Amino acid sequence: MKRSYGIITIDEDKCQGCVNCMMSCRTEAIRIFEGKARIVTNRCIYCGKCFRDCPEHAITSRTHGLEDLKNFKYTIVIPSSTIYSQLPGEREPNRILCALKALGFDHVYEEAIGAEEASIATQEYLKGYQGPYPLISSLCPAIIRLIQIRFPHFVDQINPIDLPAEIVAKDIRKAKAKELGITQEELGIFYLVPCPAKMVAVTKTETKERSFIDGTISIADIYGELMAALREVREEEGLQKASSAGIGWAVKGGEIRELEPRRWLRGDKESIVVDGIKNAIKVLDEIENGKLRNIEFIEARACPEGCVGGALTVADRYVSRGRIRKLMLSHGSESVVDRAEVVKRFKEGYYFFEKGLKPKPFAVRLDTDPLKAVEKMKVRDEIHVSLPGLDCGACGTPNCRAFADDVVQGKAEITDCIFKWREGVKDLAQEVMQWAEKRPHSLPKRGR
Amino acid sequence: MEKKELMWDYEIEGKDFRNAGRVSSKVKDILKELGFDPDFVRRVAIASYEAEMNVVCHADKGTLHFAILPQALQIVVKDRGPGIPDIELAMQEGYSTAPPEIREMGFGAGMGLSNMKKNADELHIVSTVGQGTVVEMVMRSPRSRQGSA
Ligand SMILES: Nc1ncnc2c1ncn2[C@@H]1O[C@H](COP(=O)(O)OP(=O)(O)OP(=O)(O)O)[C@@H](O)[C@H]1O
Ligand code: SF4
Ligand code: SF4
Ligand SMILES: [Mg+2]
Repeated sequence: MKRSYGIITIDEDKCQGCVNCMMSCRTEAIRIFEGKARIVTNRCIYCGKCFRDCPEHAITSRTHGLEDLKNFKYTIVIPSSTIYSQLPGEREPNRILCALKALGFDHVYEEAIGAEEASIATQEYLKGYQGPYPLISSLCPAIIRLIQIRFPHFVDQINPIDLPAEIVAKDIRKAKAKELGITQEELGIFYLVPCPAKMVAVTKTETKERSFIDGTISIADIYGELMAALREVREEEGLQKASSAGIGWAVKGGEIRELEPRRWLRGDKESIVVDGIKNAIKVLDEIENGKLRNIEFIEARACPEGCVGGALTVADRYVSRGRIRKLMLSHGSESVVDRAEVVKRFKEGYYFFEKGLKPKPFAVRLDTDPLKAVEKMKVRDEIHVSLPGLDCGACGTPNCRAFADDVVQGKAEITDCIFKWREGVKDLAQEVMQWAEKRPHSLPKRGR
Repeated sequence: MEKKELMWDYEIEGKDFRNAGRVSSKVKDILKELGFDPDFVRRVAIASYEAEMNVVCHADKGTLHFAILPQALQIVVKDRGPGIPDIELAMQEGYSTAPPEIREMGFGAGMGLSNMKKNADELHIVSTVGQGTVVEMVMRSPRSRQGSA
């Protein structure tokens, strides 16, 4: 049986209830219930880390596939820049784009062009930005969701410039439909994504009424076909136009790299690149606590090494990062993007989110009555202290604290902890022994 | 009137920079969990962090007590330490007696007390030279703020 949680699906026939995913999820969004993994969706940030850590490959995500192309008269694919890092050997980026087009698309536009525009727009935004600091990059939707859930008051500090892929789609949507003489509904724009977070960010966009993109396709899903198509590419057409500035966004630090020169960042403060959810939580926590100060800009990525480490990519993330870096060196910074035009559009508000992001605090909310909530909290802490503290996961929750939480909320029983269960059995056994010692007074006493 | 259930007490070790910030982080977690307004939580987090760090940086040992009162939150940080000879002077932005090794760790900008004043609704300091310091902060929760405005 398959169980869906938004765009994520767990194949319960494959799931062995082994706790690997539960232990690896940084937002404690997974529980094991009756031997199967379940996702607590209001905690999940759609990073896809659990996809990689599941030994049975039982967790996947998908919104669209190549079969959806037939629903449109004309189709366009916007490949994430991570695609350049995914194929073995020194494949030319342009060849990769040609092979991708050959899978059935009518045209290809690079996400990296959108990244170049986003970069210029962010530079312009920084010119007038007065705080509050730090300003937080908007490029990783998993991090955005982490902030909405766990650091809600930082939501206003997220850079309000749209995702590169949305920018590209916006750039081409109207013009292309007009050029071809078709309606906008007949034009299908697909985004080839490295992660479930981007799938959600597009298909369930919170920053506009409707995304400019019609569907998302996972890199992993079409990988085999892309490899095959690559072998078939004979004649190449010039599709690859983005410069190193845009391609670099595929790896961590790629965004900040474009903000540092020419003092777009003030430079009297620090700027940070952080990768991995655990590290991002730590940094945000320390900023919230006032321990880390004087930070101007944070580029945070849920995946180690950046988007090349996305859950729907195929190649090794370290090798991928190396490949992107090589491309950044071999590609010039000469851009097809017209800076003056981007600045003009920025001033017209073209690049901004249409709607502001909203906080979605996930307070455990032990009780609506604050007094009772505090009481429960203290009981929870007492339970927590009484547990062995091994964080073994056998109870179906990721650690003893989360288990104590579930117990006090009535979602679990204390005997779900095998150590508590064993204590209970021992006590019971002793009681049974005491009963066994007793004899009816009608019988003669023992030992006679 | 204080209800015992709504009070918490923690200890702070002077010069223990490794654990510095733990206590205010706990205060923050509790308030977050109880569903307090995020901006309010942030103000409390900053103010209690500064008070905690002053014990770590300048005193020998201390305690942080915090209580949720019907209309407000009260934080009392007490320490055994050198005390503050001139509170008015200490309150000035940029005034610090922190030694170089503490400055190297990024503290000692002399912003702590003014930061507390900015974030708390009330700040009271009582200090006896040679004995110690008591810092009391009152933060009115956003709901009661609206009510009184
Ligand atoms: N608990 C305390 N015990 C003794 N002296 C203190 C205490 N708190 C503050 N002081 C004195 O007041 C001065 C100013 O404190 P304040 O917190 O404003 O700045 P700081 O601690 O020196 O630097 P910063 O807080 O920016 O790291 C301190 O340098 C110290 O001399
Ligand atoms: S996608 Fe990420 S946040 Fe969601 S359950 Fe998996 S690991 Fe946890
Ligand atoms: S780092 Fe990139 S690939 Fe990973 S979740 Fe964020 S946007 Fe997706
Ligand atoms: Mg201080």
